[in-house]
Formats: sequence, C-alpha cells, structure tokens
Amino acid sequence: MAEVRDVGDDAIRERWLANLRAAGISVPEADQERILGEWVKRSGTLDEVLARARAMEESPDYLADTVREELDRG
Amino acid sequence: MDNLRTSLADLSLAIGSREVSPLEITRKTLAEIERRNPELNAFRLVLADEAEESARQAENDIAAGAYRGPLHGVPVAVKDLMDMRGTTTPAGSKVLADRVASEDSEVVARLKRAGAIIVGKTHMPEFAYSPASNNEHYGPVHNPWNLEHDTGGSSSGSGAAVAAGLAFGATGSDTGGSIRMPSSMCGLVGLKATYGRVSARGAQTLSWSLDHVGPMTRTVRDAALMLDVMAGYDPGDIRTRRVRAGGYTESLEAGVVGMRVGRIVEDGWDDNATTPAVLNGVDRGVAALKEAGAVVVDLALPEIRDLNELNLTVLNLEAAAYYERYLSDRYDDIGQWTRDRLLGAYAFSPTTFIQVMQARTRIRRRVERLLAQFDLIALPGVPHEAPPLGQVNLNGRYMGPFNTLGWPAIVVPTDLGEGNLPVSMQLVGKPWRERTLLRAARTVERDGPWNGRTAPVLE
Repeated sequence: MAEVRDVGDDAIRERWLANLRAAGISVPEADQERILGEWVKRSGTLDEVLARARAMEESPDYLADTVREELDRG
Repeated sequence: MDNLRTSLADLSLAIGSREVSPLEITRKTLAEIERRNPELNAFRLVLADEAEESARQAENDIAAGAYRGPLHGVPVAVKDLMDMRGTTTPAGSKVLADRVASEDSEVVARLKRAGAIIVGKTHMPEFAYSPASNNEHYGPVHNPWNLEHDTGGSSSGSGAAVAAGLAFGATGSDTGGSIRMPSSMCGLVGLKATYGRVSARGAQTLSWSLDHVGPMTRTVRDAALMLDVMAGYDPGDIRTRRVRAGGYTESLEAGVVGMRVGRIVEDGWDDNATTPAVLNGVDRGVAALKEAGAVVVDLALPEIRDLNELNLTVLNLEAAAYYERYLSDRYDDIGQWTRDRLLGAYAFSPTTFIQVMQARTRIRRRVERLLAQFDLIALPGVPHEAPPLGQVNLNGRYMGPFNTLGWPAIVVPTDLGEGNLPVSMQLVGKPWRERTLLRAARTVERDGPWNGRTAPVLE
C-alpha cells in the first residue's frame, strides 16, 4: 500500500470523497479541509508500522488465524 | 461508618456484619450526588427511587439471612453506554438519546444479581470516542481533585463519581484506555481484564475487536471484588470464553516473590512526553515490587508504539463502520469532534483494514515471543497529569497497545504530581492471568507511595 499523506493531494481527496459518496455520506465543503487535515495528522505513521510488520519473518494470514481460533474455541 | 470514601471492601464487611444499613448508605450516597453532581457533572441519570427500593430490598434480604456476597447493598454507578432495562442509553450522544433499553446489559444484570445498588448512569464523551471528557451535547466532567481539570475519557463520569465518593465502584469500558485514563487522572484503580473476560453484551459498541468492560474503584481489592461479579462466560457474547473466572481476591496478599517483571525502558517514542512525576511514580512502584521479591529486568519494547498506531486505526475503521448509518442520516446531530474523527476513516484505502489486522497478528506473535519469560510488564499509565478542561490530549499511547493485544492491564495510583493531581503506573499481564496482575498491583498499592489518598472533600 502506498498511502498518500498530503492533505493537498488530489488522489487522497478524491478517494475520500468517493468512499463517502458510496456510503451515502455528504460532507459540506466547508468541513472537508479540516477533517482531512486531522486525518493526515493522525494516520501519519501507519505506513511505517505496516512496513515493519511486513518485514517480520512469519507471514500468517489473519483470516486463517481467525478461523483457527474459532475452531479452537469449539 | 459515615465515610463515603471508604473502600468498597470495608463497606461490604460492615454491611455483611449489619453494622451499616444498605438503605442508609444509599441515601447518604444519593444526598452526596445531589450536592456534588452540579459541579462535577458525573451523572447523566440519577436513579434515586430505584436505588432506594433496591437498598430496602437488600436490607430486608440481609436481615433475613439471604446475604448474596460482597456487593450486596453497595452503591455503584454504571457508565452510560451499558443498557439498563427501562432507562435510556445515549452513550453520550444525541442520536441514541431516546433509545430505551428493553433488557439489562450482561454486566448490569450481574451487578443486580449480586445485590449491588445502582445509583445512576455516568457521563461520557460521545460514543466513548475520546481520551477526554469533552462532549458537545452534555458538557465535560470535572475532576474531583481540581474542578478546572479534566477527568480523562471515556469513562469520565465513572472516574469522577468514584473519586468523589458518589459511588463505591463503577463500571467503565476501554477501547484504547477508557477505563485506565480516567482512573489514572482521578487517582483510582482501573482494570481492563483480558479481551473476552467480561461480557460486553448490551454495552454500546465502539470497536468490536477492541472493546473491553471492567471496574473502576478506589482500591485493588475493590477492583477484584467487582471483577468477581462482572467476569464470566456469556453465551450471548461470542467474544467471551469458557475459561475459569472468579476468585480474584483469594491470592491478593500472596506477594510477588519470584515474579518476573519487565520494566519498559524503550517504548518506540523519543519525545520525552512523560512527566517527571509519572516517571518517579513508576520508579517507586517498581522499587516496591523489587523490594517485595519480584525479579525486575529492563526491557526495550518499541513495538508498543506500533501497537498503539494499530489501535488507533482499527478503532477508527471499526467505529466508522458501526456508526455509518448516523453519519449518513443524522450528520448534524453528531458532535463535530466525534464526527470529524469518524469521517476521517473514509480516507483509508480499501485494503487498509486487512493489512492492519495482518500486522496486528504478526506483531502480537512477536511480542508474545519477546515476553515469554515475563509474568508482567511495568510502564506508565497516562504519561502526564490531568490537563485543563477543554484540552484534549491523545493520552492513550501506553493504553491502546494492550487493547490491540487483548492482554489484561491495570493502573494503580502512585503519587500526586503537578497541581496536586494524581499520576499512576500501569501493569500488564499475560492473557487470563488477572490474579497475578492483581497481586502485583496490590503490592504497589500497599508498599508504594500512594498511601490510600482520596480526592479532597469540597464543602
């Protein structure tokens, strides 16, 4: 994943607005800059975390893991 | 006994021996709520008539020899996101304000069966989605240690109520620190047990895979007594497990000889954001454990920062999924602060959630391996004293990681810091090992510097 971390980036803005539209949510234009700006600040280091996790030796698939846990639970 | 700030355990003994009347202590508690709530804003709903009726019943039952156990006749408070039949559960919001619960949440049902007297439901930020008490609909909650300061969130009213002597214990919920943050800031013990230890059925969801329910009390023993009642398998909540629960007070005084404690000396952050009083409190708490015979080893665990980042992201995505219908249908009825955070989640790419959950599994396995030789880890609770009201700090850096892992964690007050505001340390245990965790917490409480302080009594 290559997340775009710039509030001014058109790609991220377009994706955000498309996702909102698909969910039937309408965000007034006056709110958009503030909300996206906060999101960029908050989610700034996620890419690094995911990259570190990907670099770890084991590569469990979380879905398979969840199924195993369900089976263990009986 | 006329002290509303005595421990739940001591009150329980006095009720059990019929030295204290449940009806009298309940009336006294309700009078104190009436006196203090206008300035604290701890309670959203006070159940005076219902509490008096329950207390009268408890008194009659105990007199007739039908004593139900340590919570029988004890006034407690419930966070306002847990359903209680016949009352509303707004969860700090306007959009849920009129919803009347048709049945009790599992935790409320358990408290009632144990004979606890529920005096009211406590304020919280909207949907529990804040590390502070900020709430655009119902106002903030004031910290009993200093009314100009925040309680932290999201179990804000529960923290203020227990610290001020308006209840002998309260329920909280914790998705990224929401039991432990207000407990830290209000000088309380706050326990988030293992994920699945306590049923969350009937508790308003914030994030399915991170939500925990637990007790907030003035002492470690009180937390153990409440957990005894709250913990256990619930067939109505698939997150709970069929594992042995209860008996949490049995080995509280057994000490920590030989217990292996990892003291976190590297956590992935390099911003020195933890205040001197918090660091000093952790030092003294760890010294108490060492003095009592624990083996303490310095431990670098930079994964804490990564686990916190995963907590924030999973919480954001799961909360947005849960509240999506209100974002589309009731946009203007959700407070701006909460709404902005929920809406931000739509900026993630479609694959983020899967990648984050894969990372969660990988990092959890790595941490499990790294900590295999330890019984506990020790680190700060909230990294600073309670901020002034209106200031929302992201306090959860040492809290959220253990929601991501699902491991049990407890905060214990250690000292008063700047402004005479409480600070705490946090102990984290292995899954399902709450008894070990409580034993260590009891050692810090007994031998550490806190010395049973309570919030100042304001006339």
